[in-house]
Amino acid sequence: MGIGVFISVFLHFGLVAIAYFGIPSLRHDVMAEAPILVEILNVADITNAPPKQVDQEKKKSGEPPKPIVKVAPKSKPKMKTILAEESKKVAIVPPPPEVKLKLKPEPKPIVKEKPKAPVALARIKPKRKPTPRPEDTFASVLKTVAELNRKSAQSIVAKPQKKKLEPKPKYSFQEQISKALGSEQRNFDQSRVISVSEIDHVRQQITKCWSPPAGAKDARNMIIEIDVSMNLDGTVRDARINNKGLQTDSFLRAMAESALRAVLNRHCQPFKLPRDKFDRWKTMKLVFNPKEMLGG
Amino acid sequence: MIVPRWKQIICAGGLFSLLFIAVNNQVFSAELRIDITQGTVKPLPVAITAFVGASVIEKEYGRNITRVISSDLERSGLFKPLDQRAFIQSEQPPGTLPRFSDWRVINAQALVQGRIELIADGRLKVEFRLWDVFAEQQMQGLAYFTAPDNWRRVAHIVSDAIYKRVTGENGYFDTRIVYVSETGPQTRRIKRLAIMDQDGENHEFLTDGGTLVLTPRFSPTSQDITYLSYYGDKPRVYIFNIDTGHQEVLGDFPGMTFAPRFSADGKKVILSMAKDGNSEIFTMDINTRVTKRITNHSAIDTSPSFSPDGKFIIFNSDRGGSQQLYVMRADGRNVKRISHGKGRYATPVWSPRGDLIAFTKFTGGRFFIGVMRPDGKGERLLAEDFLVEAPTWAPNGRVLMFFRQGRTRKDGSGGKSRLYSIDLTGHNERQVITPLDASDPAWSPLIP
Repeated sequence: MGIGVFISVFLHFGLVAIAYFGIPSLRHDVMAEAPILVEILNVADITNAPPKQVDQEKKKSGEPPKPIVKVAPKSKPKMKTILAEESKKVAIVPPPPEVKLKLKPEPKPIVKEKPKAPVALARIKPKRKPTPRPEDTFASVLKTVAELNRKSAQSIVAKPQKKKLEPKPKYSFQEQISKALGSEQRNFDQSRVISVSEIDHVRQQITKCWSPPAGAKDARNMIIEIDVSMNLDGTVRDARINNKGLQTDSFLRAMAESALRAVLNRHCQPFKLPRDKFDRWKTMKLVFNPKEMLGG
Repeated sequence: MIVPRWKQIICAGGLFSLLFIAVNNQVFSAELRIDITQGTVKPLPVAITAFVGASVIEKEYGRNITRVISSDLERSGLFKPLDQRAFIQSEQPPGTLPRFSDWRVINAQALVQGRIELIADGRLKVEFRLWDVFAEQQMQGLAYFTAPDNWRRVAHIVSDAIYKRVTGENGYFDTRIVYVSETGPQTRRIKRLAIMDQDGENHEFLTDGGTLVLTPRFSPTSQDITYLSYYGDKPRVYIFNIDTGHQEVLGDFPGMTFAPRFSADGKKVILSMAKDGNSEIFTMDINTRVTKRITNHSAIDTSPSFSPDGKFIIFNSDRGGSQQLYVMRADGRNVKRISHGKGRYATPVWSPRGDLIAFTKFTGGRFFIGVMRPDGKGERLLAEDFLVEAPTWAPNGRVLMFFRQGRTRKDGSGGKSRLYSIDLTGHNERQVITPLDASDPAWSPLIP
């Protein structure tokens, strides 16, 4: 009997310990792996080529930017800094003539890259930043007059580019890739758990409606949590700020309220989430942090 | 008590099952989490209803105050006041909540309502409420009493309250600008000190133009300004109190080209002047008039400005070969160059918030107004022209004012000099209307 009781006590302790300590780590692992194992390869391609984005990028920069990252000639780095990292260090103004010179070599790599398009996209997309590049969003936040110079320089350089790209002038690099890969819907599989692309859709919807107080001091260090209850039709039933210290920190409160307005804004709803997975998204936690937007 | 073995096994099995269910539940009901790290900076759509009043006069005040608030908020670039003609709810019974659904339809995210009352003692009572339309909650509700002539100031104070509540930052609408008003041909230019509200209203001249005046600077703690004027051929610095009109001479300073700037506590000024043929930086205690030399270098050190905590000084020096910006401790130690870009840098001014330094830059035959962090990183150029100069900070450190002058054409036209404000995003540049040419603006602190 003594052994039996000992075993029983030992097992009970073990169970309690597992229940107490084991669950959080199990939970994290599962959450972290779910999107990676199931989704990332297929979905990333889909997510990263939504038609609207392509339009935006077309408007903002008259050329496909990404292949340049790999094939960048020696003279590129400065330009690259401005395009891709403007949000981090906003750059010293390069004088316009220099910009022109640096831009000229670009058309060649672009033309060469076309046949390899899917590969290039696959390489780029796993970064999981399908929303407009830092430049696009950040340009709306902080401007330097360098940007104006660059744009005018680009518009000048754009003409020779068009001539060289004449065979397929109507489609941008990314549009061609998205055509080659097929439409979003064809690759969409509803039987999965909530996928990265579905999350990205919602993220994009909210991003469009979130206008954080950009000039606020230390804004980049603020993290706002909003707990959301959803309706089946994708509209928000209820949303609450889950932060403390709002009454004492006016900046934090302003940031939190801006996030709450983004969530409650009916013009940005319903969120594009699959009804059959309602159980998974009937409550959500939305975490807002403008760090990336304000340059890390 | 003896517990049969089979009971023990059942008990353990049951516990295992419970644990399994608990873990499963945790895993499958784990809350969906979405990180949002990007936003789209857009002005906040705000509906500002005309402040209501019982009498015709009160209604008139209400309309005027609403107009000023609307204009203040719009000029900040952070708000988009909606056209009143689009409003669905025109009147609201007193003591009731707004019909938020009506405001949501026109996409108003905030709502401002107010009431004007002329009370028995002749004062004006201005009451306002700010509502969050989506959350359906009151964000702010305040009332002010003032002489009716002060209605414009009250409107600015209400704008500041709204700005602060929504952005978390102090406003800057209840402030004034002192600047140098210029008129006449370039060879015989008449320069007068002038003052106006930050929106260009209530314009007045402070000096008569008999002597040349330059570079007014506001105290960050009071309504005092310093400015430079010439007494004979010698530059002389005056301190002038705008409220009282009291003026006194701070001293004669040889070789001075910019008026002294105040320290953040308003007790000291910092200046550069030529002693022994070389320009160095000094501080002066305003009460004792004792000067203290800060730099001692063969190069030209000029245009100093204190950090808001008073621990550091930013200044301009050619000690590295060209005119660049340097930071040092307030006692002159640890001098460190912070500007490394092409071109020459001048007139650095430390932001009242402490996080940025504004400067003028000259490169490629053009002038720029820019900002950089105190460690020299993050340089951004906000404005550019044939001549842009003299940046001055709004008291909240989010907006700069400067003057811009175009090139004078051969026929003598052009070359006009005007004041502009620009916010830190660089997107919201606005001209401040002045009756004549304008230069050297100085932004006041919030009026007490």
